[in-house]
Amino acid sequence: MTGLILENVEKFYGSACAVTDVNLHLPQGKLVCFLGPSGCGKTTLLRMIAGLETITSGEIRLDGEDVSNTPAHERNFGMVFQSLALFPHMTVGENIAYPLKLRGVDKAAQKARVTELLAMIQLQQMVDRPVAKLSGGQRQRVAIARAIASHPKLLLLDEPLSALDAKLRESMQVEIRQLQKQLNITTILVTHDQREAMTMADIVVVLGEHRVQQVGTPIEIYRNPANAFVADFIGSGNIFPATALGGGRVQLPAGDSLDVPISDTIKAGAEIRMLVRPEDLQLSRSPAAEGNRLDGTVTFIRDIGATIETTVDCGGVSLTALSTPNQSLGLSIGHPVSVMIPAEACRVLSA
Amino acid sequence: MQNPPITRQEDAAKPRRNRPFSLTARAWLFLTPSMLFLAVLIVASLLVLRMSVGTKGAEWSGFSLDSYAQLFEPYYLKSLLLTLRLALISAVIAVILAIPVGYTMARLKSPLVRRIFLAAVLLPLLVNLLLQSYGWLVILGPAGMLNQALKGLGLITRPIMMLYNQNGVLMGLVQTAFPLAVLPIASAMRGISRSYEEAASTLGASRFQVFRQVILPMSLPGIITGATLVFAYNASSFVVPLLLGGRRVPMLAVMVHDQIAPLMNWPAASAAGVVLIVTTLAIMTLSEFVTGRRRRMLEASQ
Amino acid sequence: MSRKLLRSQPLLPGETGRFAAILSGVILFLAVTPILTMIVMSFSGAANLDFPPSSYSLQWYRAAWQTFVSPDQSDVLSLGKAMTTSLMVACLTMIFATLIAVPASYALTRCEFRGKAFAMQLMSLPLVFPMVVLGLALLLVFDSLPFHLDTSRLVIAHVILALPFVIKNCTASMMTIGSEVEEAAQMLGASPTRAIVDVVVPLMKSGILAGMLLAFIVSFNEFTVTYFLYNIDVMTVPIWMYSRTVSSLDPTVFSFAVLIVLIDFVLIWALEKLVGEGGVSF
Repeated sequence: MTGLILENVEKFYGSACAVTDVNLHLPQGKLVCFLGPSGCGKTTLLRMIAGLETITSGEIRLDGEDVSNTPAHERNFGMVFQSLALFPHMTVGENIAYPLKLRGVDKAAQKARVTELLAMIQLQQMVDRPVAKLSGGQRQRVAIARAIASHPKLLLLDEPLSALDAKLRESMQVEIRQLQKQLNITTILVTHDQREAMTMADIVVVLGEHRVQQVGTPIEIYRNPANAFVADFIGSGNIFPATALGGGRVQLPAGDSLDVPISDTIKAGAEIRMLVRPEDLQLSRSPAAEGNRLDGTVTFIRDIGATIETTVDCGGVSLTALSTPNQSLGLSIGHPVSVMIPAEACRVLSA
Repeated sequence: MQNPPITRQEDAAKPRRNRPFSLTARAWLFLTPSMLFLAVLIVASLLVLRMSVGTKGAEWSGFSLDSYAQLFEPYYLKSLLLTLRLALISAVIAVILAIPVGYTMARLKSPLVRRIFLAAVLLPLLVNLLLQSYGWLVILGPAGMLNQALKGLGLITRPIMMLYNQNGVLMGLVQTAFPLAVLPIASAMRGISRSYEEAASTLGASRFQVFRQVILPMSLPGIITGATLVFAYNASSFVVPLLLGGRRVPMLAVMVHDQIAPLMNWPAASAAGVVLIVTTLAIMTLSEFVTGRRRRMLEASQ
Repeated sequence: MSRKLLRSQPLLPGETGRFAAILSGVILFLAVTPILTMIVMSFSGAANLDFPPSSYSLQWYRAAWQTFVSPDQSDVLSLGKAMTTSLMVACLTMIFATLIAVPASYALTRCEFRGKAFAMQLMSLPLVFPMVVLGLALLLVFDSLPFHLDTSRLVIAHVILALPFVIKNCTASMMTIGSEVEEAAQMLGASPTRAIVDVVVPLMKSGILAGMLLAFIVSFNEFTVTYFLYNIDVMTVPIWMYSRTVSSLDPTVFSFAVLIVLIDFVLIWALEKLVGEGGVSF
C-alpha cells in the first residue's frame, strides 16, 4: 500500500499523553493538513513522523516499509520548521546544496540542482546571498527549496506561515499548494488556522484533545462535522442544546420547536446539540408563515464591510447570522427580528 | 461529552522503542573529558580528607583526629571566625558596589564604553594577585597615596596604618573579588527585558522606584550568586592576607600554608583545608537552593 | 524648573542614568587603582616606593630589558625561560580546556538527563574551590604518582581552573543557537554528530574563542596553585616575579607588571570584541 500509514501511534511523556490512538492512511501525492488548537498534539505527531521524537507505541510505514525505528537523518523526509532554521553561516546556495553535499553529490550536479530549485522558487539571483539579508517570504521559499532538494519522499511543514503577515501568508499558501501539485509529493502541513487548511488541503485531519477527531476533505468536514469539537473549530457555528421530541422535531430550552433532519436512532427525550452555520440563517422583519422560525432581539452587530454579522438572542439561545450588505435590514441593537432556520441547514451533532 | 482525561498505567505492557544510543548516555559521553579533570579535583579533595586524619610522620597509615581537635584551639577558632567574618563583609561590600556597575554594564549601548568597562571589571580578577598586592602596598603604606591624600585634605595629622591589619586586607579582598560579583549581576540584569521597566514607568514609578522595586528583585538570583562567589573566593584567599596582612591577619588559607611550610604538618594543613572545602560547598549549596527556586519562579512567569 | 533646562530630553526607562553611569565609573576606577598605581610607579625616577614619585624616568624599563636580555647570575631561572614556560602552559591550557569544554557545554545545554543540575554545579566548582587546598591536594596527587610530570602538572591544574570560564562561555553561546537548526540539519541527512560539527560549532565560534582567550588569561596570570606545583626547572612568569621580590621589593617588578597588564588588557579587549552584546559569561 503506498502512502504514509500510521497505525495505533501514540506518544506519552511519562504518564502524560501527548497524542493517542492515531490511525491514518495518507495517500501518495496528497496535501494533508493536521489541524487543531494549540496543545492538541499535531506538532508532536509531525515530529514523530519526522523522527525527531520517539514513538511510545505504534508503527509508521511509508510505502509498506516500517520507518518507526529509523533515525531522522536516514528517513529522507524534507521538513520546514516553524522558525525556518536556515543556517545563518551559509549563503542561500550553500543552504540548498547542504543535503546534496551530505549525500556525496558531485559539485557540478549540486550546482545544477541548486540552479533548478532557485528557478522554481524564482530567486535565481540569490545564490550567493547570506541568509540574513533575505525578506520573510524569500526565506520561506529557500527553506522549502532546501527541504525538497534531495527529492524526499515526504514533505513536512510545521506551521510554516505563522511568522508571515496576512497578505504574504495568503500568497504563500497558493504558492506552496501549486509547488506541491507540480512535484506531486506527499505533504503534511501542521496549522492551527482553519482557513489555511481549507485553502490548501486535499485531506484535513482534525486533532483535538490528543486524538484524531475527524478525517476528510475540507468540504466534508465543514458540511458534516463529526462532533461538537469539529463543528466548533471549523468555521463559525451556532451550536445550541435541544431535546429530541421524536418525529423529526426538536425542542429548544425556551420552548420553541424546530423541524430538523434527525436520525431515527435518537429517541424522544434525548439531549442533543444542534449546529447551524451563520450563512444559512436568514433574518426577517416580517416572517413567512412556514418553516422554522425563532423570534428574538438583536444584541450585537459586526459590520466588516464585505459581510455583516448579526447576533440575535432568541429565548436564551444566541444565534449569529451572516449576511451581505445587500441583504441588510437596517437593524440596530435592541431591535426585534425573526430568524428563519431552513430545516436542511440543521445538523445534529454527536456528543 | 468530553473525552475522559487520558492517563496511562506505568506498567501497561506497551512495546517500547529503543534508541540505539540513549540521550543520557550521549550526554555523559560528552561530559566525560571534563569529568575526568574534575575527577582530579575530587580525588585531590579525597586525598586531602584522608591526609587530614593521618598523623604527622605516618601520614598515610596513621589515623587520628588530632588535627581536627587542634582546630578547636582558640588560635584556629579565631582564624576561622576571622576568615568567615572578612569573607562575609567583603561579599556584602562587593555586592553593593557591583550592583550599580552591573546595571550600567547591562544597559550600555556604546561598544567602546562596554569594552572599557569589561576590561576594568575583569582586570582586578585576572591580573596576578601578586602584582595588585604590590600596588596596594604603595597605596596603603604610611607614605602611600591614601595617607598623603587624607593628609592633604586635612583629615588626619598622622598616617593611618592601613597595611598589615584587617582593614587593608578587607580592601584588597573587595577589590580582587569584585568582578566575581559584577558578572553574574550584570548577566541577570541583562536578562530583564526593558519592557518591565517601561511598564513600571507608565504606571508612575520614578527611576529609582523602578530600580528598587522591579530590577533589584528580579535580579536577586544574580545578586545572590555574586555574593556567594565572592564569599567563597575570599574565604580561601591566600595572597591578599599574606601580603597585605603580614602576620596579623591569619586567614584560614594562610594557616594551611603555614602548616606546610615551615611546619611540615601535612595532616594539620589538610584538616584546615577540609574545613575550607566544607564551608565553601555549604555556601554554594545553600545559595543554589535559594536562587534555584527563585529563578524557576522568574522563568515560569516570563 | 531648572532640571528642564539642564536636560534637553527626558531619560527613557531602561537607559543608563547619568547617576548610575558616574557611580559605576568611580567604582571601576577605584577597582583598578592598584593596577594604575603600579603603572605610574613603573615610571618612577626614584629608587623608593614613595607615591607619587618624585621624578619620572624609564630606568626600570631599561633595567627590565637588561634582565631579559642578559639574565643575572643570581636569578635561578632567566625571564626568557619563565616566559616560554608561561606561554607554553597557557597555550596548552587554552587548547585542552576548549577541547573538553565544547562537548561538555553541548551536553549541558541540549541534553536533558538525570544529574544535570549536579553536573552544572560541578562545573563551577573550580572557581570557588580553595586554591590553597587545590595546590596542596594536587601536590599530593602528583607526588604519589610513580612517574614525574613537570609542565603537565601545571597544565592539568590550569585546565581545571580555567574550565568553568570556558564552559560558561560556550554554554551561553550555545543557548543562543536554537535546537531547530540542528534538527533541520538532521532532517537534511546529517547524522547527529555531523549536525553539531557542520552547524552548531561554526555558529558558536565567537563563544569558543572568547572561552579560549579567558583560559589563556587565567593560566598566564595564575599564581597561587602554581606556587605549590612549580619546581626549579618549570617556572612561570608570576612565580619568577615573586622569587625576585622575596627579599626586597625591586621596582623592576613594576615594569614587568605593566607588561603583563598590557598583555591582559589587549586580550580582554579582543575578548569583548568577540563576545559583543551577550557579555562575558560567568
